[in-house]
Amino acid sequence: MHSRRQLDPRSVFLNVPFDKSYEPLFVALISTLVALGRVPRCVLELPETGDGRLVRILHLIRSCPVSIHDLSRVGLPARFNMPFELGIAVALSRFSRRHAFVMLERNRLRLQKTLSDVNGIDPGIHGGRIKGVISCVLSHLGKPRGNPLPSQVVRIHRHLWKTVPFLKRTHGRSNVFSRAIFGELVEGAVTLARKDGLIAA
Amino acid sequence: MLVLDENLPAGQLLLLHSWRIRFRWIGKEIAFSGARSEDFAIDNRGKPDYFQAGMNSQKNQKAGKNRMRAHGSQGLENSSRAKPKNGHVHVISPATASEIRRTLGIRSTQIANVLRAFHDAGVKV
Repeated sequence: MHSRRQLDPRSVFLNVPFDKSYEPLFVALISTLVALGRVPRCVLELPETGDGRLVRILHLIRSCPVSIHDLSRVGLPARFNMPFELGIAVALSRFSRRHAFVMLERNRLRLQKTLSDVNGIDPGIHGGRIKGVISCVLSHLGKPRGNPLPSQVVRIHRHLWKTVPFLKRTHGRSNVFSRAIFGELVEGAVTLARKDGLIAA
Repeated sequence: MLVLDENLPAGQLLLLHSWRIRFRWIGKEIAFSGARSEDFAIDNRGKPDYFQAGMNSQKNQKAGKNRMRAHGSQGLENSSRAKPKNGHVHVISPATASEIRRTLGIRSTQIANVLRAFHDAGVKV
């Protein structure tokens, strides 16, 4: 079990659709979080040790004080992973008070229909755009002072996105949703953020 | 009651709200945007605590205390809630590159592969 000491105040759990069409937005999330000095965490990074995926997700969400849940995937085939993990985050937020969550959606007002239980909590609307994701994350998790400019984050994203074909080729993957590529995307964002002076060495 | 300055970002207030910490935000729920100290008064019976962004600095703490004293309210020095770690309720110091690598267990081979990827993409780092 994770103890209080294992809670990293900078970690942010990412609960997003692992779809090919979401890749640019996933890279945008990683770029923005690293530019803010946050640590992106994702279930991808955890090796399967026989406990099952749900246990790994629970442990990881508990170790992060904040989670981001993108609920924009509503097409077929239906996938319930994102709302399910949001439910875990809501329960943690309600009962432990050591967790906060941010919801993202593509379209304004759609969440009122697809998940009316969370009415009253406004999601960040990204419109399926990279700049929208960057703006939402900066707005919700931005520091009181010294935030990176959206244009700086867009530049990090643009450069990081250029490495994606190489990383996929190297790891023999057709998408970026693997443990190795996730780690290397974060490393790439760290390198670019350091170059821009957004985070310290 | 917590009274928060309008210079705090909305995201941080959202966090406080999700933690069910009650507060009043200057510019939204109290007074108006750009209000100065003399533009509004706070009832000191509720012993309001005043927070603003960057409050850990000596200068801003003094400013905050003075602002509350002007209205007879409780200043930072007397408030148990105003003594969280680092003097803040909201500020998280950004992680460094090495901290991010350590947290995610990024290995030197991965760092080397990323540098190769940047080289392949023609991105100078």
